Amino acid sequence: MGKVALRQRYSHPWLCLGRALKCLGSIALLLCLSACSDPPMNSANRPSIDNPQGKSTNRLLLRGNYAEPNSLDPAAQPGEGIFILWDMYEGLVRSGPDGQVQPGVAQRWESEDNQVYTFYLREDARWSNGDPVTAQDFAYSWRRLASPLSPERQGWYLDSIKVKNAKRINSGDLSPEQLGVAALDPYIFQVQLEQPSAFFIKSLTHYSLLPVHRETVEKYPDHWTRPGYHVSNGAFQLDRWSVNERVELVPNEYYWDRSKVKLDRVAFLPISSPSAELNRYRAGDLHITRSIPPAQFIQLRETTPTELKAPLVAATFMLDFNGKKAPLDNADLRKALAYAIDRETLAYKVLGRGERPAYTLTPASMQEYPFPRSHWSQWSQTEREREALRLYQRAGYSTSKPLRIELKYPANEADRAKAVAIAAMWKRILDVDTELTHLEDNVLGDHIRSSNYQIAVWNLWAEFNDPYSTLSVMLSESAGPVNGYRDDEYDQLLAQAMRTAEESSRNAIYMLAEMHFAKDMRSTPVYQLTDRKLVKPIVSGYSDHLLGFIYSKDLSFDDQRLE
Amino acid sequence: MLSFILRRILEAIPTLLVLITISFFLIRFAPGSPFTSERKMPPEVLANIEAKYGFDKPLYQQYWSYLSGLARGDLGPSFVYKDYSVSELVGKAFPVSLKIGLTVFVVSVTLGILLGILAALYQNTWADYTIMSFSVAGIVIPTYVIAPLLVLFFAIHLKWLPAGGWNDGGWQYMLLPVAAMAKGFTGYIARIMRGSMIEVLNQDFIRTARAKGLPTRTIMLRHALRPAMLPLASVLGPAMVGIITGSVVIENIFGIPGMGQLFVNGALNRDYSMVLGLTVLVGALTIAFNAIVDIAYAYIDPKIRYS
Repeated sequence: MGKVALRQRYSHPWLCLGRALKCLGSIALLLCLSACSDPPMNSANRPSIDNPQGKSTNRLLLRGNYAEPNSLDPAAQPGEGIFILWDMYEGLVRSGPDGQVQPGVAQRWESEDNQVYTFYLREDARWSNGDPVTAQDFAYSWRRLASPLSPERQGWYLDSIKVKNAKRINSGDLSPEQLGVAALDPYIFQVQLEQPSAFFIKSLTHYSLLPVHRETVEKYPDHWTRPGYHVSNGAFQLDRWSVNERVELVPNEYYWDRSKVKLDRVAFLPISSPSAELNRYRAGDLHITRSIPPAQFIQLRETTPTELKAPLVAATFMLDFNGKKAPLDNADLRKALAYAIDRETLAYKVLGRGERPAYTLTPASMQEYPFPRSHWSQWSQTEREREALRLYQRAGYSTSKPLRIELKYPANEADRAKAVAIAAMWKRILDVDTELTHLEDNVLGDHIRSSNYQIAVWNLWAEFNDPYSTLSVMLSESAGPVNGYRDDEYDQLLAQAMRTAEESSRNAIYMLAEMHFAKDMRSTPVYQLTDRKLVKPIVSGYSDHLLGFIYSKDLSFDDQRLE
Repeated sequence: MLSFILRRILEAIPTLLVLITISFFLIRFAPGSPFTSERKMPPEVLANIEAKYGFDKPLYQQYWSYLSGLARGDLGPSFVYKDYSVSELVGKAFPVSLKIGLTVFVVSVTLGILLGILAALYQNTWADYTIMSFSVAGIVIPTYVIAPLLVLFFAIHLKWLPAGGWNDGGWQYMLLPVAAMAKGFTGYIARIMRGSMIEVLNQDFIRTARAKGLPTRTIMLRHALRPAMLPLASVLGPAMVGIITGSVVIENIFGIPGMGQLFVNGALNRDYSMVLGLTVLVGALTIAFNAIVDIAYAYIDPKIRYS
């Protein structure tokens, strides 16, 4: 009896399993059948490269975005959200394709002394909810940025471009209301600076200065960056945000220049793996990539030369020598190591993706900036190597007593290749034994911050299109990654440059600053970076940009190719 | 049975607590902070931000406030995805991973069991060898090799399927990731199933069943399947957790907004609350599934009773 009961009790699930298996089989069959009966992918409703119009004549532009944005608040650290911010918001000015400043919300501006700037805003500028964009909006946004009460904010930027009182507001000594900004009238915005700044207008292209909509920010402090709440004043507005999948924008119907916006929708896909991104591009899921797998660059240049873009950008690959600790507290040794790097070989042969050797902090292709000829950049490589050896020996090292040094770099294939090449050059010319240590990005940042390194790799990015942007990183008061470089003469040169309105005399001062910095060689430039991406031929309106800006507003689909 | 379940729940609490404690201190002692990658930030601003999130307090206080938050169901803010809280992010990502995971689970358990039974029935014939070769291949070829190959062939060459994306889980978007994830798991299950089935088929009670003249189908379904499933059941529980909580590699290659991506980005960026939140979730799921396996054992194996 017990046995029968047991059987009944226990055999049922397994009979059921048998049936379930049959069921599953039929479901699978059904799935297959429905798969076969479905129309092929590219003619389906999903918009694609061949058919960007999709089902409802949607001109959907698909852009790779490398990673998920950290935030869509311009005053927070947006991380990879910068491109999205540039599409959603419009600042006082925008950065044109050639790196020149163009009017944005400000139609024109004037300043007599380069210390007080008055901006006349266009009266037809509107937020995406129809509200007018006023001078009060800018004043509110900048004060919000400066406020230390919201510590995520990047008030340091206002300080670095010398907006009046920004420094003391940031440190909490003054209230944000005392920031040197004022709305003289709904459409007249005035900025006061601590000192005259000749390139102030250029520095306004920074994302942190974009305006936010006060009412929304104050009403929904935790949700205002979400779709449904978000209000922006740029060509596009936020429509959908699915974390780690896509951020989608649609045109802002109230945008003053709405007729120039040709796209119906822009999607940013956070794809952190360059090879996955390339696959998506090849399969027709992307119009513009954010990167290119380093190993595939040469092949892509041969197979798709028109789609491959690799413009030089205002960023320099640097090696930082920790001058606080022996043995690199010796300037001769630092210079020996800097001179011994064969930058041409590294840029053209080891990398070979359009990079250019760099001998100055300021990227050589920066707008209207004559390439400053620091003395050592004019030597031939043989001369540099000879000098390197001389300085190396003067510092007390030789083949019998070689220098042992550690080079820390971020853990990825591309940086590894560079580190190995540099170590090999030092070995060949100076017989230096270099220990290569790769570290996770975050850890490397921590080591640099706490001065726990001998030589470390970093990239120096310009925030705006003026040499001051890169050179100011080396100021004593700067928060740059270089530890402890303090030099009064250097600081004075840059302060003088800031005051100098005339472009060529300012550039001359920058050159002096560069040469002064090179005397100490606390950090050495190695090469200028490129911004590599693929752009489908169907996309028109794309142009290379020194700071890497791509406004979706400028892009459209080539109608002839669509036909 | 009820007391068994109760006991398991009570046992889970100290286990989870130990897990949370270890993870909390491990990630805190890892070098770097959620904000160190922001290289241009002045030290005083960094200090302000750290104070905002309570990083300036002693570690034991932070630990305590984390635990009390957790008790209220608050997993804290995310330091990487600053516009969201950890609970919101996990709430969105978990259903995605669950959908893929359950599909993979159903597909690979079904296929694996069927293939395993076939291989056992036709032991040492070409059918057995073919199935086992494919199983082994499925296990040993890493996902990060097979997934790009699938994309290359089906998405780029044939253009039948999208190369990635999620699109609210449309079937076209699920096919390749599910296939890539299921291949190893199917092979694994098929091998276990084959082995245990062969063992069961050699037992006396099967011989008796054959002697009675029962058809093979009845012998398999009614007599052999259940005991042969035993070794599988103990594997499936923990494996299930691994599958439904997302695959880092698969999600990265196919751009799926699941838990794996949160885990990787959380760990790389020192998003403390994210990593801890996910650890708690995965820990709780592991404990739950192990308990389910134990209960299932009682049903499958008459020799085991929890009373």
